[in-house]
Amino acid sequence: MKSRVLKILNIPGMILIALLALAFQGTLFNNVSLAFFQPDIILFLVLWVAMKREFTEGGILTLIFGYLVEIKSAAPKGLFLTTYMVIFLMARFLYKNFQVLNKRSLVMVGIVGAITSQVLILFILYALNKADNQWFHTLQLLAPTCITHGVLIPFVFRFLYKFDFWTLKHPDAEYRYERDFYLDEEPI
Amino acid sequence: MLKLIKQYRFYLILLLFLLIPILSIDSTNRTPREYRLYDRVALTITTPFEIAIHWTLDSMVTFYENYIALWKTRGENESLMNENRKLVNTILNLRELEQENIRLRNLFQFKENFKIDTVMARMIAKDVSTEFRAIRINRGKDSGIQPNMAVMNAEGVVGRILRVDEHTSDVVTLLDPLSAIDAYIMRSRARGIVEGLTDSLCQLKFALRVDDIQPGDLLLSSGLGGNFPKGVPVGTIIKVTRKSFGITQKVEVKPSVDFSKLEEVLVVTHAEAAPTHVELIEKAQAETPAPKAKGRL
Repeated sequence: MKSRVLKILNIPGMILIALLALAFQGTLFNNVSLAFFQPDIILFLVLWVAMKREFTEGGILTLIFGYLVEIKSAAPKGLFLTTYMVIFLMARFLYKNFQVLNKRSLVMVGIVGAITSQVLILFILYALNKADNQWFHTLQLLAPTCITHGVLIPFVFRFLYKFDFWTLKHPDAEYRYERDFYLDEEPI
Repeated sequence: MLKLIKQYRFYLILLLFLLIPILSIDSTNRTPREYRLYDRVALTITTPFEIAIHWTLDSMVTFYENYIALWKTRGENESLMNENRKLVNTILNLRELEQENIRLRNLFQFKENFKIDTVMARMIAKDVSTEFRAIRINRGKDSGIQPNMAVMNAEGVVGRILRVDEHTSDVVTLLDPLSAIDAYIMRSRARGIVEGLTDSLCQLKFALRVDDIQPGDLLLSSGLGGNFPKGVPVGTIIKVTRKSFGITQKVEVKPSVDFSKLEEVLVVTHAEAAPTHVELIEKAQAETPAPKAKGRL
């Protein structure tokens, strides 16, 4: 019974995490200089669900995440939905066909995810004819964004792993309930 | 049909996942949007967190600014106060220098007006008794000062040297009862001896009763005795009392020099004698070019 409740709580929990992350992103990085290092936590969540969830469940969560971002953003409607969905599909394809074994490969996933996200946003904005000087802004933010995402992705994934572990979403959770966990020990 | 759907379920879902975002793209240009009901739910959940995070950050910043950052404020305040004091002192010194500069310029101009050799001196002390009005200056024998030399400033006669030390000298001012300077009224040329009377007034003694002396008349040094140059302002007549008897009149003089503000003085070490009338005529003739002789043919 307890495990069922916990498993059911996983998805609302993920949505709540997304909402909290958006609240953090909107308040903590108000300063212009800090904005250069603002992480896209929703991107981490999308990458996580792409790797750790069923296709349907992950896709629906990605749509929800995209929708939540669009509520909080002045970006053209559908921009984040499309971007995150493409990233979700790409990440899932790569994860299913290649191996992400350790922290280094995880850092690469974070960096590539950040670059893809920026490029996709730029591409869609160009397609919508709404990106007059956006390329310059993207170039400015590209390096700090990559660094931030590369640095943060192991920590975020460790937290999400623990969250999945607590909500018994992880297949081995019930067996490993009492054991300490470190991300480096676990294949993702 | 259902079997077909089940068979291609993955592709259908994939198509759906791709269609939903693409169809939701709003190609219109920045049209006003309104929140829908489910948007409001998301906002209702996130807004309290945003407010809480913002409040926490704001409190932390306020705490830092109002408490932690103020730890240094006391020290900074003290150093700024010290700096302020130094600056105020500097400003006062500069103002003092400016005033001194004006006074010295006046003295220099005064010296230029009279053909005299002078030594500039600074007043360093006043007479210790209240009955006598002498001052001490910071120049003495080593500066060539000798007793009875005249002492003046840009305003007029100050007094004369009473005694001389190596580095200092005592000056009997015009206000002292022991002072005596021969002077004349500029307007009527009436003569007399100026002596000290009170802390701020002198008297003109030995002025004949028949002399034309009126309040407001300017009194100048006569140059007799050779100590003072002729024509140095001594004071202004402020009161004249003529009795119905006697041969003199009582005249009160306000000195030209404001002794309460006296600082720098000139000690006249050598004064040229005033040129006589004949000398002045000869000098004027010498300066006028001689008329040219008419041309020879």
